[in-house]
Amino acid sequence: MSTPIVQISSLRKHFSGVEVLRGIDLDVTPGETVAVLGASGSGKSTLLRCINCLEMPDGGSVVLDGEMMGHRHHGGHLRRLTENHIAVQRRQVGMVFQSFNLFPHWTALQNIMDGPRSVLRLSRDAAREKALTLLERVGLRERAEAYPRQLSGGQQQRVAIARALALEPKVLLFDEPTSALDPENVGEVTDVMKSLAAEGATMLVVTHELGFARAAADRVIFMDDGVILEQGTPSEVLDRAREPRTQEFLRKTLE
Amino acid sequence: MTADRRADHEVASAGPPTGVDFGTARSPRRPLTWVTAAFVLILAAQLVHMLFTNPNFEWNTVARYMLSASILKGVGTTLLLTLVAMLIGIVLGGVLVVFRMSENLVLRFLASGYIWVFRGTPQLVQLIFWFNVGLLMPVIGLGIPFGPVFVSAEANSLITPMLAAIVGLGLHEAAYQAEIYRGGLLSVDEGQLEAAKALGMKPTRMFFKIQLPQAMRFIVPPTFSAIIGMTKGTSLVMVIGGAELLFSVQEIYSQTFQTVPLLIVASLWYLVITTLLNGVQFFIERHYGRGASRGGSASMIGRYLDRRSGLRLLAETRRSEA
Ligand SMILES: Nc1ncnc2c1ncn2[C@@H]1O[C@H](COP(=O)(O)OP(=O)(O)OP(=O)(O)O)[C@@H](O)[C@H]1O
Ligand SMILES: [Mg+2]
Repeated sequence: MSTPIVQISSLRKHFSGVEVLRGIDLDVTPGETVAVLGASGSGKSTLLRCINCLEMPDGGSVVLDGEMMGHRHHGGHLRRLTENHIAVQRRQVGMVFQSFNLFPHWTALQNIMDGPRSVLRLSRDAAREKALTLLERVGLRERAEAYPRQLSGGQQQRVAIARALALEPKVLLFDEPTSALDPENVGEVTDVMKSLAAEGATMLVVTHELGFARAAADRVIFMDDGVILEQGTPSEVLDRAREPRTQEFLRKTLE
Repeated sequence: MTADRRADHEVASAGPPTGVDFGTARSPRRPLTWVTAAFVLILAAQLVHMLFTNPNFEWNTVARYMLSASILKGVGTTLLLTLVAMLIGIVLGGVLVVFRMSENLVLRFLASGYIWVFRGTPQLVQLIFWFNVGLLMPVIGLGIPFGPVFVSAEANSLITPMLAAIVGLGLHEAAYQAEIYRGGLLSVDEGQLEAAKALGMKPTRMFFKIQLPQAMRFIVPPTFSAIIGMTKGTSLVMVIGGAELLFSVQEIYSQTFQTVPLLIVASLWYLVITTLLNGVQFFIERHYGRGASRGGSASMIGRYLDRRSGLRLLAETRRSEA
């Protein structure tokens, strides 16, 4: 087993007195796809958001490719990084949201090009070329000039995936990427995600799509009340769950 | 994909008769509209009749003064006051909102205090106060706090009506403008900021590239209301002797007693200025509406142009489909 690219240790987070993450330990190896399951409120989103510092954890650490996220050791003390420094760290992590969050005043192409232009400092033509290649990959090259509101939900989410890929992040986080979609549009998004998984992207995917977890995940994690209650291969967790809470969750999800 | 769409099309065309062109459909019947139109027409006719037959309007006097030198000078002063005071309001308002929304407690407190005072007292009081600031501080100087003063001047010679007007209107406006900005910035969806952060955008860039452009759609309309309000609000400056439009008009009618025609002259000029502002507003709103769903335009020209571009779009689609 190769060294993990993401190392999460004893991660804790509370919101106004309520413990939402109660000591999460999780290592993700390069190329691995981890599906995160769990009931509403079990802390799945919070876990993803702590990885790229959209939330600051209270304790524990997230180490990405050897670098601690959000803090650094400084003369025996732990010091929080500035927002500018955290921004630089976040470029290693791509994130796809349930509600797409494309920038509505920019076309699909501009949404994707901006990172390569401003961060990777590519020329306009090179950034454009890169963005078009990414759009091609998600099957939307011909919609490059469309504004987000002119696209269907599934198309918007595919553009959002292309945007997240544009900075060539080391890990991709998906927070219920298909939950806001009409059932007939779910497939076009999970297809893109499956092909990413097959091409060796490292992904953490919070999802209620058990089919996707079974088909694309290397590992399935079940979260309950702020801890990882159970994990294993898709068939270990989905077919032969040991914990009653997991079994109950799966039964409810399948209904 | 194409196969799906064709299938959809066939399902749809199985229903209503084919070949219907909705572009030729008539508007729905609206009898009430006709009743109101008739009613309004009668009232309007009466108004026009009065405008032409009532000699007290003295339209020839209106025409004579409309472009006279002293009135034009007043219009110029009104425009200048509006421009400079509004610039102060727009820039200082920007500084205030940055303070107000900053992490720094002291700056936040300062901005809140400023807004509290300048929004909470009448504009007229503020104007008179600045004009009479010499009563409070006979000498105004520039220097180090509690230390030496480098330049100083007598307040009474320094504070002209124009300066008091600019300072009074500008500082008052800044408080309102800061709140307009704050409202606009807060109405940008939180998810937009999270997406920008997740992409590794630094705070300054995020503000200028993501938050501000989207906030502009909420900032532009109230800002234009503020500019229009400022155009009319400059007439308050009359009380401290600033020679703006209303002052010029009053100077004339206090001698000739042609009060009504001269007030009409002033009103027509205010209308000319505010109408031009409406036009500018339309184009700025259209610029910041990029990517937005079809939103209603506030102005009448706006709706007209919207409709024309809508019709053009329809024609183009038909042509490309044909
Ligand atoms: N910013 C916040 N402030 C206060 N409470 C929060 C905040 N974010 C999350 N919580 C709370 O933390 C708990 C876990 O939230 P989280 O969003 O991580 O759950 P989740 O597993 O993603 O649930 P879901 O499936 O509904 O998305 C919930 O009880 C939620 O109300
Ligand atoms: Mg969630």
